[in-house]
Amino acid sequence: MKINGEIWVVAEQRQGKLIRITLELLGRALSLAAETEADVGVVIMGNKTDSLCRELAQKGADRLYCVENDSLEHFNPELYSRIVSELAREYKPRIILLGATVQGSAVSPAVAAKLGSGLTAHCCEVSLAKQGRLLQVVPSLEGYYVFVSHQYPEMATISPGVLPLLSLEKAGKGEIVQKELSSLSGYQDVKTKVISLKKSEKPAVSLEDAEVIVAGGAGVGSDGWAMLHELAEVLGGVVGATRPAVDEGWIDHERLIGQSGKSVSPRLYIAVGISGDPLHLSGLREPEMFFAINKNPKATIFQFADYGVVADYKKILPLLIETAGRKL
Amino acid sequence: MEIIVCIKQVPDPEHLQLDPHTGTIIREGVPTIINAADKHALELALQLRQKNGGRVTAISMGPPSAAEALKEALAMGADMAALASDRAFAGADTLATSATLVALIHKLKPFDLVICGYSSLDSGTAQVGPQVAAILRIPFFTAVQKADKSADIFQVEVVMEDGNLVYETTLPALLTVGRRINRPRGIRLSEAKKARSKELLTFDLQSLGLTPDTVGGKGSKLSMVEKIPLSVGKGAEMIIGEPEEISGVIYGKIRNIGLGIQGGI
Repeated sequence: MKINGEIWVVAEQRQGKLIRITLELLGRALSLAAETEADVGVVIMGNKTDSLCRELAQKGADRLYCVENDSLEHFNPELYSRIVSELAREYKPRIILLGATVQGSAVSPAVAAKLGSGLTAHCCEVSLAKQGRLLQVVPSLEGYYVFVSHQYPEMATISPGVLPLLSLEKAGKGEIVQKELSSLSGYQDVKTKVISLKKSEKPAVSLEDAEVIVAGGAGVGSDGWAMLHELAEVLGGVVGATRPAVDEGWIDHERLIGQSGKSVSPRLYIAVGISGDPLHLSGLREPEMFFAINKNPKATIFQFADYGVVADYKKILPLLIETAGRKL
Repeated sequence: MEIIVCIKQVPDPEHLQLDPHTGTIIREGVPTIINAADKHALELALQLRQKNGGRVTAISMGPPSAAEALKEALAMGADMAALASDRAFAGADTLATSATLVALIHKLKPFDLVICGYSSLDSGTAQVGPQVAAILRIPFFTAVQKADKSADIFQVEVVMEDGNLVYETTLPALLTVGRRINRPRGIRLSEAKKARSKELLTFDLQSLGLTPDTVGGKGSKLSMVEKIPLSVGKGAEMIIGEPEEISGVIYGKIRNIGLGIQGGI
């Protein structure tokens, strides 16, 4: 397959606005492109795409692959993955980057399967090797794995919040490639229809912007979460959690930090009952102060925290809540 | 309704430990379990069978010992099971795994629905479901919260970051489910007894009609080129003492960076 060398980002929009991960990916695509003198292409699907195309062009995109249709207002896994794979077959990009969001995590494997490409998930870093291959770094329980793909396009999803959000001020070529949905092969075979979006009524918990995060893991158990919430409240922060705690159903998925969850950069991080593997810690960026409370003196987290306490958190947290609460 | 449930046997995360010398996971002697989300997939399949009739078939790709996971699925109530097992399948990335599962699915009766766990506890890519669907060329939905069939319409509700999306589609289709969709049933003695007489088929490379270059490590498009071990951090300064002292020291340090009073200072 002849590769034209473009580096692609699959954009993600909600109600006509780009979400942050798209700009994080665009920033990385532009720096990879600068190394290889490649162009950056962005795939945009939605019901109103004009302003998104302009915004992305101003921020450095060279080519906007734009598919606009009323049926694309909301995410449709079958339709979106068909569009991305058909566009990739036609324009043959060298790399495709997507966000490790619900949308990106659904679209990317289907596209990789249709194209016969390799695909990594939840990368925390991507860079180019000397030979030009994309090095894809994935956090794991035992450290980080680096993968390369043997097949173009090289495909990866990147966790939201792990790449810096650059100020993208240099405009790209901004050439718009408008595609009619009906012109795409297989469009008429799509069986899935979006019926409605039920917007979440709960206000979203913003872990990303929190200055203080009290995070709990498997060691918290099923019954200690009220204590973590109380501590977070008196410290003016929010509660986060690890994958095992979310999987047990002790706390909502929206509070997950690390692989397939959120990446956070609080000033203060208090880790309670968290062992400290990279699946979790890859989602934590340079807290100014990092406490770990864990019963196990050998827990890995004590390697990474600034201050450690080997104790039952149920003995420490109530006192801390009381002290901090009194000073209000 | 003919339903296929994909099951992965994984090491029990509660028994995973890092080797203190090499920093790598100790895999020997770790007990295995059915991947947590896959039990929820099976539960959904059993509920849909109850409502709509039909059969549930549990399938897996893995070493011969993965038959144990399938036997557990039979004891939970699946009607039959099928395992793809061959040394040639080892080292597969998600695409090679999906291609093997699809070959296995083609060996079974026509199906209406395939259900998978959203992601596995060991590698957690969440890729196999959508890839199986893409190869089968059927609609798919990930992170499904509700699924229901009425007449010819299949309705699915999916959890997104900012709310739930409701879809309609036709069957056959594929769903992946997380752990919030239902509570998987335990094993009842009566079901466990019946399970012994249920069919558990095994297929290898040849009987699936596959060739070595399309499966396992050889058929994979990804290679791991480096393992970066856990870096050892500088190590925490340990705070010791009675709980009152510890709490006082922590609070003092928090105040030192200007936090610890609601709304800051």
